[in-house]
Amino acid sequence: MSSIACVHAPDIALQAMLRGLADAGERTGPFALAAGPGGRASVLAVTAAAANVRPGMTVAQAMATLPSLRVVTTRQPDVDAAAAALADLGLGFAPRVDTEPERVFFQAGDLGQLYPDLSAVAHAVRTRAARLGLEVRVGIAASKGLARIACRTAEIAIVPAAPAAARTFLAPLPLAMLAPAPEIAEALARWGLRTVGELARLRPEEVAVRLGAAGARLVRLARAQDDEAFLPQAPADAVEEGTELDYALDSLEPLVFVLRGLIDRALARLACRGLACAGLTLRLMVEPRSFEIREVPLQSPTRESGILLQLVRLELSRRAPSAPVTGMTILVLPARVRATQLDMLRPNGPAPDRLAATLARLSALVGPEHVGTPRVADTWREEAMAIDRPVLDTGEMSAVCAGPSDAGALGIRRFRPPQEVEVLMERKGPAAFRGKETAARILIAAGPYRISGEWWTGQAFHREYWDVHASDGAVYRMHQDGEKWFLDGYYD
Amino acid sequence: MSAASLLDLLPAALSAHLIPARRLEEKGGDKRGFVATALPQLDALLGGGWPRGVVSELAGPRSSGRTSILHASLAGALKGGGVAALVDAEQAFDARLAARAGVPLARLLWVHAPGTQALRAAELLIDAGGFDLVALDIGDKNPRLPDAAWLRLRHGAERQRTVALVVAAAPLVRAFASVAVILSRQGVDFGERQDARPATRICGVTPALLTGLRSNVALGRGRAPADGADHCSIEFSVMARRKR
Repeated sequence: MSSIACVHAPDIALQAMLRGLADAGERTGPFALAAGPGGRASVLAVTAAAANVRPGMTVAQAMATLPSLRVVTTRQPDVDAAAAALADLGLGFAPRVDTEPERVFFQAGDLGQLYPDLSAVAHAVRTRAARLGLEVRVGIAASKGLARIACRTAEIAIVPAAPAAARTFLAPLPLAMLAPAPEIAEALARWGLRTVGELARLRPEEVAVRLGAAGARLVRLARAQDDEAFLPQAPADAVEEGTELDYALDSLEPLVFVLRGLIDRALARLACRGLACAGLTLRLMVEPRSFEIREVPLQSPTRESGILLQLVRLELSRRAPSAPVTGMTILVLPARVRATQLDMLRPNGPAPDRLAATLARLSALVGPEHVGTPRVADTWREEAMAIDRPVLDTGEMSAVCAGPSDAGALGIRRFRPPQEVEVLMERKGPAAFRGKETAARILIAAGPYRISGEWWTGQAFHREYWDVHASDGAVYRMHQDGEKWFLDGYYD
Repeated sequence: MSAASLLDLLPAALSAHLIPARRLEEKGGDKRGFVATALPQLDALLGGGWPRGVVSELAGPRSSGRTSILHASLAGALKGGGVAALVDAEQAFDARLAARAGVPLARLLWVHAPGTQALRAAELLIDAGGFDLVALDIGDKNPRLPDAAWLRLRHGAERQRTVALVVAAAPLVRAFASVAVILSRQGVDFGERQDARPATRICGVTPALLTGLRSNVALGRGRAPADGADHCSIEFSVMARRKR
């Protein structure tokens, strides 16, 4: 029999604001979420520490009741991120989830292989939710509606799967647990009904005549006959976290500090689903009312916030925001870190996750364009070299490992870019050269070797190459391009 | 009955081939403790190749063959199916000639890290583990690098059993290198172009053709092989072609 888990994050708007606090210890203090215009702002929700403050009080009343109360206001990006984090929590347990405001539903029936019982599943959900900065209630039942009711009864509630046992579970509950519409609740109270069990004794068709379809549905729910469909949805392509700032930031360090919190939250959500970050896009809201996009290139998926932060810092120091930043959103592309099948006959090579972390660190250190797998560029320009994204899966490289060996081949050490030199020409060829770093007479000159190409791209080149044995003992490769001479490197 | 007395009972011929379990690692170290290069002469000089778990140094002036030996070392390390990394401080790597020397480029991780970043990059790569060879090509400029960095590199190599090869124009690593190979120029070979036609002649002289370099390779630090030779000569050829 299928089991549906309902995870409810009560007062998610308030929780969303608390998630944004850098220090987890701070979250235990008295907080109140307020909304409304200016001096008439009223309290919407409070934390457990703000015991004497009630929702509905004005902010002034609340502050008078509890002077240490910290009042926060709703910021939509934080609330959206918290709702998405709640969905990710569900996706950590099932591939598809059904969501509604403050709640996420998922199939828990097939988790028996991983957890001894449904109670263990519920505890695991709460533990993971705490990692995401959310406090949740978990209800598990045979259907979606019953799981929602179970959530309201306790922090963890498991409704028995058998219909008779489920009815017994529901019978003593007050009618408020079914969350009827106000007019229906009023009618039921007028009829003298107080508990779910009393409602279950009525006939649905008779209730339908008096209270309509909603009333009949309530009776069926009281009889543990829920027909609400579970509508699974695929997970979002990317994980988004964002915040709006109380005041604009115009320097890098405070910006990175705020981003650290967002990155940590996004990685915690990915970790919930066993994923890593494969790409990061930064959307900065800048003054007056504009935004700027920064793509942070990643060589390989990583789960380390320090590395991501380093890359973000690198990108922001390269291309600083053009105006003070008033808010930011990060978009994290999820990816799986691939497992590798080891080969008995070949060395293991670097572990994929450690290599991925190392590549990310190297990218942060020297820039992603300076890390990769070299490739012979498809051009006649000798100095050209292409750099590919490094291949992480060593198992796939067996086909290319058996390259033809040419022991004793002479190598060349390139000057990049080629150094411009002045050359003294004689009738037989170049006789001496002088550059910024090197000056020598030429003892033997071999050449010229003429190479031309790329006339089809509009960047045509016509070069005459020479191999010269210089008086400093080295053998240089040089070329003449038009009137200019360049030192390409030396044979070594 | 103790292991020693058991060994006494075995015939002498058999016991000579038995190795106590506690010495298995030392014995195996001779076979697995080196990464061979693609140059037999150099391997003979080094006693089998670059030793694992230590810092080795390859130093020589311009045109002394250090880049060719670097390519041969990468080719040798990758021949067995492993992976290698090259930290290139001066962006001097030539992929075309490295591929011709037998380096499977797809298994090589290349990092361009100038100055002191090069050492940090090498440390990161060694600490990642799994690389058979991590080469740090300092280039022609010999920057003053802190001793602590070499020490960290050595400890990392030892921990991961990786060959840490430092390539520079002059010895840099000093006492922190367990093996140092010093190169010197022996000669440059020029020949005549086989395809030289009258039209290609300059002032009636047949143009020259660079055919190769000869290098003297000396063991500056490290254990010399049993026959006592601590140097050899290696010829690097421009015209070397792939073996079919």
